[in-house]
Amino acid sequence: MATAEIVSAPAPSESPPPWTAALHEWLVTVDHKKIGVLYVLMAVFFLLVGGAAALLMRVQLWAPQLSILQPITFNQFFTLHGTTMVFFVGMPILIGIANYAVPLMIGARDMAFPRMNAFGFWSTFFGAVLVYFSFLVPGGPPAIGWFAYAPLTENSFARGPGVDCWALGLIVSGIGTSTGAINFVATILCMRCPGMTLRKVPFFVWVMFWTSLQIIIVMPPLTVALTMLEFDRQLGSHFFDTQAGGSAYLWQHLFWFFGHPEVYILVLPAFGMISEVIPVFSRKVLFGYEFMAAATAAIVFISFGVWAHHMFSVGMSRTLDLFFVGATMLVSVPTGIKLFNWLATVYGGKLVLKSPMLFALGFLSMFVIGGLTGVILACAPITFQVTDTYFVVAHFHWVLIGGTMFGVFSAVHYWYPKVTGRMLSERLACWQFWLFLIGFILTFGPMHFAGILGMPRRIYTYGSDRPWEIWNQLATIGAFIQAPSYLIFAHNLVISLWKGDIAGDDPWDAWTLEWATTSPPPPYNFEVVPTVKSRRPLWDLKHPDDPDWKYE
Amino acid sequence: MTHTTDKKPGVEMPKPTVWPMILALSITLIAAAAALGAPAFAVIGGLLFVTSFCGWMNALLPHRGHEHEPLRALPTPITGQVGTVEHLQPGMTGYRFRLPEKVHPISAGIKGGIVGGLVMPIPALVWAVLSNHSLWFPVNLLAGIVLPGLDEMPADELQKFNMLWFVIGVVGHAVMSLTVGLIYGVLLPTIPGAARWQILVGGIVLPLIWTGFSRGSMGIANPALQHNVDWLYYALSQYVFGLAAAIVVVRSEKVIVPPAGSGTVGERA
Repeated sequence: MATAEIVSAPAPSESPPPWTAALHEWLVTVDHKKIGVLYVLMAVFFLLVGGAAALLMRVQLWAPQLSILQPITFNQFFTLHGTTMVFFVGMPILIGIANYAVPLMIGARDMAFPRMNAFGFWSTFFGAVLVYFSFLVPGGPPAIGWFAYAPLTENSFARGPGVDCWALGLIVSGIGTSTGAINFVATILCMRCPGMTLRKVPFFVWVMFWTSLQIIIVMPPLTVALTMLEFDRQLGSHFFDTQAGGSAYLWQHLFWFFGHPEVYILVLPAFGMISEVIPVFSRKVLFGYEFMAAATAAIVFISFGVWAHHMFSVGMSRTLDLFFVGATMLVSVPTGIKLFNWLATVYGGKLVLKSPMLFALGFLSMFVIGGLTGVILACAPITFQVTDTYFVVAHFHWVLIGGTMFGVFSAVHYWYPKVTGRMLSERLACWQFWLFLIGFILTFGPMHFAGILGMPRRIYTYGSDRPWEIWNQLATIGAFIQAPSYLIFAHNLVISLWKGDIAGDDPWDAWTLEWATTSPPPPYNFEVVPTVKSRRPLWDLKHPDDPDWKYE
Repeated sequence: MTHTTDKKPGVEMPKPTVWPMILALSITLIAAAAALGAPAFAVIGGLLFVTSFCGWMNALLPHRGHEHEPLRALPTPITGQVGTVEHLQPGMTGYRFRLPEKVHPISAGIKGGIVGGLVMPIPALVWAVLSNHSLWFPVNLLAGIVLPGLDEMPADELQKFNMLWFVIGVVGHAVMSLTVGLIYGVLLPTIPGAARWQILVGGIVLPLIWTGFSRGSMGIANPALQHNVDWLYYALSQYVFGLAAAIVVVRSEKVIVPPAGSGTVGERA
């Protein structure tokens, strides 16, 4: 190793490889970093697509009795919007960031199964393509909502192949997600560098481990449900065909056994991301690592027992209602532990209010609100009143945008310098943050009121005698304030590749292993595999007189 | 962090390969064939599946699936900065012990919750007797916080003993009492001043706050209780709980909080 020739990084003046060669390099790559970037790019693309659908729906709801979108188009849009945001934005962007960061953070040179990693990405991507292929089939895309309640998905109600494209696309995409999760578990268990026991992994890695276990457990029920649906549609079985003795209730159980843990799959990695950002930008260690770690495991375990709180209004037994009320309330305990620990990390810290920290603080404040409305909805009597209203829409957007997206933006701003060697523009990031924060609150805040006033979700228009117009107009204005923030984000990602300041290896003076290698890292990540003694190996190196391992 | 070195030149890494992408494409084509009823997609997908699977397996044979990456520029070495960590010491601005230095043991909160929980039903039972309700009436109402539909029950039903309602009411009461007791155990030591101030907060201020909150939200959380409760006695129950729990907690002997880690107190900020 020591005698090997060292190749300098290409000088800026060198001409880049032809685009065909670059494209080929990305198509055949098995490098976890490039695959991570591919995941993120795919997610950003679909974020813009799904966001555009949302904007059109908001325009349609601006005033009563508008007909900018036809009812069927509206139904197709909210189906694709939900499907896209959950399966082709949320999960890919989180898995992508983790794909990039996890091997670096544990001192590994790649994922445990690099080829399977590439297969996972391409399956996710082609699954998305198959879902969107439904635009080209007779009848167009499915109009069934993202959770596709039976019997709406049966041939009697959805005659075209759009539902089949949707179901089979999700199965293919699910194969990719599952292989990715298996890969994470194997990587984290088997490829940690010497000295990094499971108690010493960076918190994001710990969270990804548990999230991956969750994916491995909940994806099969979804795949089974989708397969049964295809059996109904293609082979004439009657699993969910209520007119022939099938059970719509069965679909709900199968779907939500996946669907609610899915919420945690979408938000737990964001927890991990801000758990990396907040300590670095507070210049303190993460408060209560052990409690945070235990709370993560607790959330995962509890999440498997809460799914039927989505089904309070279908008329389950009182005993089931009671169980799922209690289990759902219980989730707030470990989640609360995490919130208090993040606050305790910030408390007394020397805050550095750069863009990653801004988004992390946005996460802290917004996610709390989303979590509180979750506790409200956990009460069965309240759900009886507001189920399938805009209150529910407001709640889950507040969790998934207020939680997941703020966390993702924090992570992207944090790790972008490592990925590209360039800094994102702080000025553009500030514009993005404030437009996003204000637009987000203005979009989804009024939806709570519309929901309490009885506005059902998924209606394509409403009568002028209803008291919902003002809330819809506020929400639409909020959406148009929010929309530019995504464009600024995409613009910042692209423009900073060329015009961003040179980042250096460790621009944030951070403490985990990814900052010990070059920016961007070489294909092998580390020339020599590092050995660590604490959770903050770079702190130990930078402060040999006060290393962490003395205290952990 | 120390380093170990490899022995071969360059770093062996997996060779890029197109087969994972083709395999994913083949599965998608087979799925598309099923969705669209187009056998041609299935044929193409099947052929691609076999080809890509064989190609992938071929890459797993010795010396075929790997390449040696040449070494790139090294990262900037991380240098230690001895003496840059400034330790806060007693007397310096910002220095603090772990506060509070002494706390009530967890058992104090549990005891407070138990005692408060035992005396709290007394005003409720007194109200039941004075207002010609049965003794089961308050606990049945309490069960309405988790059981929907109790507010629609006939009044006679709510006067009777019902095992399920009783268990739910008692368990709910016990959990709430213990939870609030534990919160008291943690919270009250942080109230500055003499013990009487802690009792004032725990016995008067906090029950006042949550009684007010209950008054506003009871219609949502427990309509049955909202319809039937006498708010005077309800408030009395909360004060009885608060005072009993606060007194038990405050009278318990405090224990010293041990320092974190293996360092001594004050060694680290």
